[in-house]
Amino acid sequence: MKKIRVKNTYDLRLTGVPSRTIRESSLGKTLSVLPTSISLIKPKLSVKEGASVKTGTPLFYDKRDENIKFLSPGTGTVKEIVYGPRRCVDEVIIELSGKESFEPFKKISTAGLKKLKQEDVASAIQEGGLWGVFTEHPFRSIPRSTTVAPAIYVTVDNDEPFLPQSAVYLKDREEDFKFGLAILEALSDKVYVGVSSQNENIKTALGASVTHELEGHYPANNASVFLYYNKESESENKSWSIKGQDVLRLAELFKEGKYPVQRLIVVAGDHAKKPSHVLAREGMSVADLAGKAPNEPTRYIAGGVLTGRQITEKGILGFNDYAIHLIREGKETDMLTFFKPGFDKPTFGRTYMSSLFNSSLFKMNTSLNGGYRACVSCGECPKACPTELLPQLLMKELKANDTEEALDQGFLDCAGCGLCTYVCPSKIDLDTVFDDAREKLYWEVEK
Amino acid sequence: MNPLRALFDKLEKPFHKGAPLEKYYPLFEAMESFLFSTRLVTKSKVHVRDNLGTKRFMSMVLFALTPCALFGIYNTGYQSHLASGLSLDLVSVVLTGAQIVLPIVIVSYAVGLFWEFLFCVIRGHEVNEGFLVTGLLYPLILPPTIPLWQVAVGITFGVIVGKEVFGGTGRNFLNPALTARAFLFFTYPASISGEVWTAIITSKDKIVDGFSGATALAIAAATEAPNNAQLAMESAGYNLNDLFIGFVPGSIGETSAALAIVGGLFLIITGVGSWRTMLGGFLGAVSMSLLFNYFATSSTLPFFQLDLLWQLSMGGFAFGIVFMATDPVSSPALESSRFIYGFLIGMLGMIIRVINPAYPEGWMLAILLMNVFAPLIDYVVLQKRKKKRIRNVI
Ligand code: SF4
Repeated sequence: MKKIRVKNTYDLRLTGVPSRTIRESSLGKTLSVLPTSISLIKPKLSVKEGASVKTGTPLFYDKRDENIKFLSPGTGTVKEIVYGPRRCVDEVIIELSGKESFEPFKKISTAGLKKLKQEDVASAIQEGGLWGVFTEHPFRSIPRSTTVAPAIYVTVDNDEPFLPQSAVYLKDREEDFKFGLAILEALSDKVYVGVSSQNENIKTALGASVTHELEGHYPANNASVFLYYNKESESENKSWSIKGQDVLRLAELFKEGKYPVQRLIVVAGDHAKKPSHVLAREGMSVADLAGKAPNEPTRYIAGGVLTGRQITEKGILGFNDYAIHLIREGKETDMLTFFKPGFDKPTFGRTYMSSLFNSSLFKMNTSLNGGYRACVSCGECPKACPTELLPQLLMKELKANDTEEALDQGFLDCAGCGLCTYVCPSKIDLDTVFDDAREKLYWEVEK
Repeated sequence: MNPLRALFDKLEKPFHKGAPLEKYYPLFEAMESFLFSTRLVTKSKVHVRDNLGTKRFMSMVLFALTPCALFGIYNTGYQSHLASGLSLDLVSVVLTGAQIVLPIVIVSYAVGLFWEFLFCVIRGHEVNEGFLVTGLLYPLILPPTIPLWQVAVGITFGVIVGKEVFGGTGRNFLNPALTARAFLFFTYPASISGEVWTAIITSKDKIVDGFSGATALAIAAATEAPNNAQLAMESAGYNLNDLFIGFVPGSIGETSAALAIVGGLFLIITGVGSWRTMLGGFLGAVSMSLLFNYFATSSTLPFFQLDLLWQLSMGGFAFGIVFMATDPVSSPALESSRFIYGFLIGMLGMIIRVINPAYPEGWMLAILLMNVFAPLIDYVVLQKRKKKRIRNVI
């Protein structure tokens, strides 16, 4: 087991931590699928309004590559298709029929897997609707169906606040996980499995399957970070990654021959009633999963609080979402804060007393904690970049359209973790600049 | 609700979009955000943000500057009373000091803020708190004898040419306070040449005997071979202790190396000022000063021989390295470049101080010069950094 020490990580110490108990949730009358929430694809519908679908019937596919399919998470009829601007499909609403029936897929056993060729395994995953769980670096897009991964990185732990804990989702499922890894090994010569160095239990439970220990706070267990520290040559830049829980879903697809709809998510944040793990399925709404927020301004987020999408109280759990957060919007106004010692103000640097007396938790809220300013070259962001980039320079180059220079400095290594944006005293949305640039580059390359 | 908050909520209306005072919103925002924490919320995917904002950042620098500023007031009064033969008790000295220094500070802030607000209103920007620092740094590097109208002209130049023409704080490449100071230096050399820097408050004939008013630097620079610079200063009444603590005539806030070090430590502890710049500056000055000592002969300038401790305690060295060189905006962006940058400032400043008799002090020019070269240092360091990475391009 190799140990990777990730530089420049940070423990945010936020409140609203989900407990390890698992809550069941019950389905509502409908499920919705959000094609536009999946980045870097061109969705094209394969069903019409009124069509009846089983769980696992293809709803839409990616126009770039028709083998990349997205399946229905429930059984019923397509009640409505909601189009957004320029006729892109925003939402496919499925009215559930109450009785669930599954689209059958071929079951593949451990022994059966050994006989299959790489293409066969790939196409079984594509048919089963799980090709989208793979992320191809450096753009973090879904790989094309025919590409072969130079390496696959599996991240078992999630250190972003907050995502499902491996101790919860992997409990009693080590064998499934190992079967999932076998599937990955059939796809690529190199499979790396990274586990948080603090996670002793999982290390012992998974034994020899674990190849790397990742040491550091957030985002040490991020796949792009893992890849950055592990790669030895340029050819590995296009490696793939997959989340630990999705490895389980691959195993389930092969074992059961059914589209695996269940997943564990966390519902967290101070405004969630009882922050905990929740058994959920794609397409469920916030109302189904989290109930009502208290009567205070609340922000709803699908995903972690540093990388998630903002949604509304009617929001939907998307294909790649593993968390729903309900946190306070804004905060109480406070007087003359910047002249106070600030024992209660956790911070990345050392400008508040909290950095000496390191005990308080940061009450999670969406206040900007400052005004928008130009970059003052304070030098905080490079100290928060796990892939050793200089975010302030990249930001300036990208804004000036000097993409070449940004690439030359390693822009594509950016893990999109959001820490630079988190620490910036000028409150610059570096993450937005980087996301936009990456997306633009992607479509230029894809053309 | 807090009554003040309620008042501000009421006052805000006319500044809203479409309302009559819309243009002056930056003014309102500046006042409001000075008093209250922001009401803005995050828009990007990073939903939660650190507690550190630019206001906190800048107020840390103000805290660090406070000891130098307070001592500056005291010392200005003290030097003035000393030269005028008046009582040296604390209260009267501080009163005199305040009478001399506060108007300079007030003019600096008032005139500077006027320009700052004007540009913000025209551009529709929010007011950047960076000026709160510039507006205090600038008076502290002026001699107490400066006429107030020159203070106003200087800060005007500093804010407009040193900063606003480039787009405001963050986009300037020169330190605005030093730009303002340099402007005065070249435009009105008579008032600021560094010969006599004690504000005299009595009529000329009451000046105590033996008072020349010459600063230590002026004496050292004017010493001619075969005389000894240190002896010349000592006979003019200077000693190392006073130079270090700051009981000497000089620019208002610069005289105390000791308090500059205190401020520097505060900046390093809070992480607001770059320790690499400071360390680099210190080592640069030390090595240059030792080099001078090494090459000193009877035919070189006597200033060459001056002892290291004297060199470091005199003039504006400590203040310049701690507060001027560390201005992040005009420094190089990379931490590793900052060491080189500081080192070069240290060396250059020492060279200008010792060798060029036309300039009484070297730090202002050295720092401004290195401000200009900062991007070049970054460029070189960046090329090296790039080589260490595994390339990742398309
Ligand atoms: S943290 Fe913000 S202000 Fe500081 S260097 Fe980075 S982008 Fe500039």
